[in-house]
Amino acid sequence: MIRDITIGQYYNVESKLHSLDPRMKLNAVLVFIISVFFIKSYVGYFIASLFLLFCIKLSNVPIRYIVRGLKSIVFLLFLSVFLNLFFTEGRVLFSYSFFVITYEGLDVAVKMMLRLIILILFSSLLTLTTTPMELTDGIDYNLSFFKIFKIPVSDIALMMSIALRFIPILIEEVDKIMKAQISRGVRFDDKNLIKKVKAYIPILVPIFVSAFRRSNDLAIAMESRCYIDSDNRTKLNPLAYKKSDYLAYSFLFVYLITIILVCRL
Amino acid sequence: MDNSLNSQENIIEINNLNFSINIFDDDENIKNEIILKDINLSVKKGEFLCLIGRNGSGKSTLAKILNGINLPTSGTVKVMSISTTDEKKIIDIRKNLGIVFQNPDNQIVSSIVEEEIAFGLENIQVETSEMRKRVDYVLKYMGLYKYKKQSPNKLSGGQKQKLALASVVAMLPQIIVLDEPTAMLDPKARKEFIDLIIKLNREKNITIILITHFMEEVIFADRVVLLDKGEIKKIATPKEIFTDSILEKYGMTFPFPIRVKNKLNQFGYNINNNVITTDDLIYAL
Ligand SMILES: Nc1ncnc2c1ncn2[C@@H]1O[C@H](COP(=O)(O)OP(=O)(O)OP(=O)(O)O)[C@@H](O)[C@H]1O
Ligand SMILES: [Mg+2]
Repeated sequence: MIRDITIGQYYNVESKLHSLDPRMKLNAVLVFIISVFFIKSYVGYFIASLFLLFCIKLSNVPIRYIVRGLKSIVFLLFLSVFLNLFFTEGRVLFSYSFFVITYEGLDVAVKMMLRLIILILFSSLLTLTTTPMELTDGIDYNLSFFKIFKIPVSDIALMMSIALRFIPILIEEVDKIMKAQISRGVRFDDKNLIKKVKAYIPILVPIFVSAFRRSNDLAIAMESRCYIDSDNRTKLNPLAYKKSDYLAYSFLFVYLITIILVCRL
Repeated sequence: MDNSLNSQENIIEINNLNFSINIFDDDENIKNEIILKDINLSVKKGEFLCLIGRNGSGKSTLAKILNGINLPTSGTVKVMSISTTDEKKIIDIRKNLGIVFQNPDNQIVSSIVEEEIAFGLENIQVETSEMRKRVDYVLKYMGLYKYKKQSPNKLSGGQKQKLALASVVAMLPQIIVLDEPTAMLDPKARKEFIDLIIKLNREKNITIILITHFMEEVIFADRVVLLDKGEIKKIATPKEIFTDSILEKYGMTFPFPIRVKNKLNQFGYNINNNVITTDDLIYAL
C-alpha cells in the first residue's frame, strides 16, 4: 500500500539509540560534525571511527543498511579523492607520464575520504533511528532560541509535521491520476523527454488544485479547533530528558575531550 | 464559562441573519451573491437538529457561521449568549461548538492518532496531565484506543471520521455540528457513526446539528430544518416532514420505508402516517 510508505529512512527496530531524546541526538550530530572538522591526525580519525562503530552497534541497524547511505555520495567521494590525489604538490611518491602522486596528496585524499564517510554515516544514523515526527519535535525545541530573532520556529515545525501527514495522501492521489491517464493511453515511460514532460502536466494541474483545496479545508478545520498560533500551546507528549540521555551526553563529552587531547598532541 | 445553562434556554440563537459574498460573475464584474437570507433559528440545549437541503443551499456556509469562521453580513448569531462577532470571546465559542467536516483526510492535522485528539486541547493550553486523562478517556469512549500510536493514514474511512469526531469530543463541547460526516462512509460505517452521535446526544446531552443528505439519518432528529437557496423553508419534526410533499418539492426523496408506505397507500392500502422506520412499517403490515 502506498500509504504505508515511510518518509525519510527510519529503520523501525528498538534500540538504545532509538529511544534517546531527539534533542540529544541532534546535538550529538552537531558536536560530532564539528569535532570531525578539527581532527588532523590518523589517531583522531581512529577515535572518531570507534565512536561511530560503537553508536552503530547501539542502534541495532544492520551495517549493510547504513552503508547504503553512502551510495548517494559515491561520485562526490571519487571526485574529492581524485582532485586531492593528483593536484596536491609535494614530495613525489609515484609518477607515470603526467600522473604525479605525492605523499601529501595521498595523505589529504585519504583523510578527506575518511572525513566524508564518517560524517555521512553518523548523520544517517540520526535519520535511521529517529522518526520524522520526533525530528520535527526536536528541531522545534532545539531551535527555539531563534525565536528571539522573530523566526517562527514553532510554525515551521508545525508546517513540517503537516507536510509529513499530507505527503502520503498526495502521493496516493498522484498514483490514482497516473493510473487513470495510463488507462487512457498516456505513456509515462516515453523515451522522448518532451513527450514525457508533457505527459506529466495533466497530472500536476489537478494535484495542485486538490492540494489548494485541501489546505483551505485544513486551515478552516484548524481554526475551528481553536488554533491561533504555534507558540502558546501545551503538549500532550512534551520532550523530557531521561537518565539514558544524560548518560549519552556524558559519553559524548568524554569523546569530545579525547578528541581535543588527541588533536593537541 | 457558564455551563449551567437551563435546558429551556436557547443555546444557539440566530436572528435575521443574512450572509452574502462578493464574487466575479461571467463577465468578470464583481457581483454580490446572497448565500443566506433572513435566517431565524433557535436551538435548545440537548436538541438533535437535522439540517437538510439540496447542493448549494447554504448548509455548510451556515455551519461555518455558527463558529465565527464566516461572519454575518447582517443580523446576529449567538452561541451560549456570546455573539460570533465578539473577537475576544470567539475561542469560547469554538471550545463549546465543535465542527466535524465531510472529508476526514482534510481535517486531520497530526500523524499520530492520540496527538490528533490532543490538537485542540493543546491549542487551548490544557495541562499535560489533564490532557493525557482526557485523550485516553475519549480514545476508549470512541473505540479507538488500540490505534492510539498509529498514523491516521492507516485507519479506514469510518475510523478516520470517528477520529475527527473524537478530537471534537475531547474539547468537551456543548454543541457538535456535523457537516455531512457520513458522505464518504459505507453503509455499515455510516450506521456505526450515527449510533455514536445518538449516544453522545443522549448520554452526554450534547446538542447535535447534523447536516445530511441521507433521509434515513433524519429520522433520529428532534427537529428538521429544510434549507433551500439560502432560505429556511420549513422547520418541523421528522414525522411532519415525511408526511409533507415539501420534501420532494425541494429535491429530496423520502426514506425507504416511507416510500414503500406511500406506494402501498397508492395501491389502496391504508397504512397510517406514523410509520417512519423499517420496524414501524413491518409492524403496520
Ligand atoms: N468561498 C466561496 N466562494 C464562492 N462561492 C461560495 C463560497 N462559499 C460558498 N459559496 C456558494 O454558496 C452557496 C452555498 O454553498 P454551501 O457550501 O453552503 O452549500 P451546501 O448546502 O453545503 O451544499 P452541499 O450540499 O453541496 O454541501 C453555493 O452556491 C456556493 O457556490
Ligand atoms: Mg456542504
